[in-house]
Amino acid sequence: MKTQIEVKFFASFRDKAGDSSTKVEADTAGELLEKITRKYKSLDGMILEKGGSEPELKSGVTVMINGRNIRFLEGLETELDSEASVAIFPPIGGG
Amino acid sequence: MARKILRVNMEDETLSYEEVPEDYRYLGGRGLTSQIVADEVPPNCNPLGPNNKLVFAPGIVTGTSAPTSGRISVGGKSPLTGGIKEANAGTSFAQKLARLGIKAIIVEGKPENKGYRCLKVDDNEVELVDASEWSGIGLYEAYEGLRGEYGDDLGICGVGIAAELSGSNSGVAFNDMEGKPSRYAGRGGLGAVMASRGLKFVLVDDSGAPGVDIEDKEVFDQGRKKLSDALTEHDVTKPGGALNSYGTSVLVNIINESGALPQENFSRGSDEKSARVSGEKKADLIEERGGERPHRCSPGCLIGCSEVWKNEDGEEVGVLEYESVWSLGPDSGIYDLDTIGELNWQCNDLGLDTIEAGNTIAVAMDGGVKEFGDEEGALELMDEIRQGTPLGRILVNGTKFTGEAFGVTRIPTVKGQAMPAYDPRGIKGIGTTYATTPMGADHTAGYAIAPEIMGVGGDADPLSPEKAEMSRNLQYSTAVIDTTGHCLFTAFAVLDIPEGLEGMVEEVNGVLGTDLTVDDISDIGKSIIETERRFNSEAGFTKEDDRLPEYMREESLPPHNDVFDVSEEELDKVFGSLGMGESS
Repeated sequence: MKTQIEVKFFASFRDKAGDSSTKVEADTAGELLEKITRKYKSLDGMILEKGGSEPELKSGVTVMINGRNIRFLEGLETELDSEASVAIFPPIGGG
Repeated sequence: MARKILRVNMEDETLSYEEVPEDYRYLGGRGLTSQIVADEVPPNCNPLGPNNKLVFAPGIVTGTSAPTSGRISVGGKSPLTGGIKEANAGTSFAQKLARLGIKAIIVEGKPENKGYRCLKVDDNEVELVDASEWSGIGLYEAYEGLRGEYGDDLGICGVGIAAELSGSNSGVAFNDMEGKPSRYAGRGGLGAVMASRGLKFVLVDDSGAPGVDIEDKEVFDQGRKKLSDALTEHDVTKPGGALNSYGTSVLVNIINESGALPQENFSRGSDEKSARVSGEKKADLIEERGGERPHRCSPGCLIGCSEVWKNEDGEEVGVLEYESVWSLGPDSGIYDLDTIGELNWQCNDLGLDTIEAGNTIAVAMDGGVKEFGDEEGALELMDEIRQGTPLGRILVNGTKFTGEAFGVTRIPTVKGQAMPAYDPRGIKGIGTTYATTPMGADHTAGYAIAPEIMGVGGDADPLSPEKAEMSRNLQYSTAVIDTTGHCLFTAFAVLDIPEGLEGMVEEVNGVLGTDLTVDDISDIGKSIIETERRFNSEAGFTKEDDRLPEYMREESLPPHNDVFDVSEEELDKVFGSLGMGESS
């Protein structure tokens, strides 16, 4: 049985999803993001780049698992466990 | 018309225009303030004594139609750090000064009498008039009074009660678009340097001003278009992008999720209550209460990251920036935007730097003066400063002074200046910048958050301790941006879009008639920082000052439970012996 993962949306992704959080069953970050973009059509094309043979995380989009950016873990292959909390951000700046 | 330097001697009240020396011709902003300070201020002088000077300089392209370029640099020897200081702000004051053909104002000398003066500058004359009536009065009332007396369309610069108390945490306040004192060259106590010279305000009227000479309009226009295109294309800076839609506070959630948003005097890196003060929450409240977003700090900005924030009663409080929201909020255990808004207003009115003020409140709470989360107590501390009580006189001198007064060992400062809103144990490149910039802990000196958190200008793991090269490159490029007069936020676009960076260089070439290329940026930045480091070296700084507080190497930070483990060797690799008296 797949793990239920809590997913939080921030900034414009929150507005476009119309939700601040949801739950999704997934074993990897890539599977989770695929399901998110299927569930929220308004986010389709904003998180994953699907032009190539394998989907890639779009430039500037940040996906964190328990506070760690998946770009510095195993990317879309990063495995999720029952303790995982996922946060998804659009391109953000400030200071 | 050739640009000129205005020299203001506050001791004998002589005012004179000077030709710009050849050495300064290609400088502006930070590059110019730091060079003048290095040339004219003895590094070992007392920052509030007669030998320090205060220098104002708009950027090279400030006052032209270059986008997002309304910056003014203020420089001097800092009473907070004891080293060289440059702080800058976005304000129409900068553009007006530049359009008058003024490349810099140098304020020097220290009068014996205790009164305060106002420097008035316009296209026809410059004069000092009495301003003592505004002593002890908050800056909001004073700016309104000055506009009433001298006209609405003025550039205004001033210092408040904090500066009159000689506080090492006193900023220099510039007018925002509504003429209010909310745009600060806040860091390092330069307000006290200005007040100690007996100067309370500078008023600039650019009616009939000749404008900024542009040597090669075609090159300038080409550069302006390239940079404008980059700013309106990049996801962070474009209309409807993150900054334009949510303001700088959009960072609250992402830094909190990263585990690096300092809570209760840097004792934890996240708290779920932080969401209550996030940019998203603020945007919702602005929509609900009214206010304004996007908004601009100065004319001609294409980003528009500012806002007009209203309190529960519908009264305009001004802009609440990310740094201010954090320092006056989570760092003190406060998670209420209205309380933060009131504290922010108090800082602006008193003439305090919000980063330093919030850290000061937090260490005071850590020292038992108030409890963390005591909102009324935090406001009472502001009132102590306003009343000039003994406690207020401690607080007005900043985080280090206050922490030591109350026996606190966890004091988050470098070179005496308090850290901004990123815990270096969770984001180590920004910690490397805090440690090594000549300015004291300053995120804007080399904004490693861009590659470490935002994926702008590349990707760098925030927990990796090898950050010397990245911090050095960012510090060099930042020194150049601060010299051009562009807002640092233009970096988000130009780090990712090469044509934008080319455009910025072409704008400079157009104004100065030079033929610089993008490849020259690093050398120019290096030269500026070398000048600053040489000043600090002669003021007594050594590589031992390029360090973070000891406890950050020993106390781990929840939730990642990491310490700052960038080695001293790595920190020393950032600049080597640059400016320290040996060849680099």
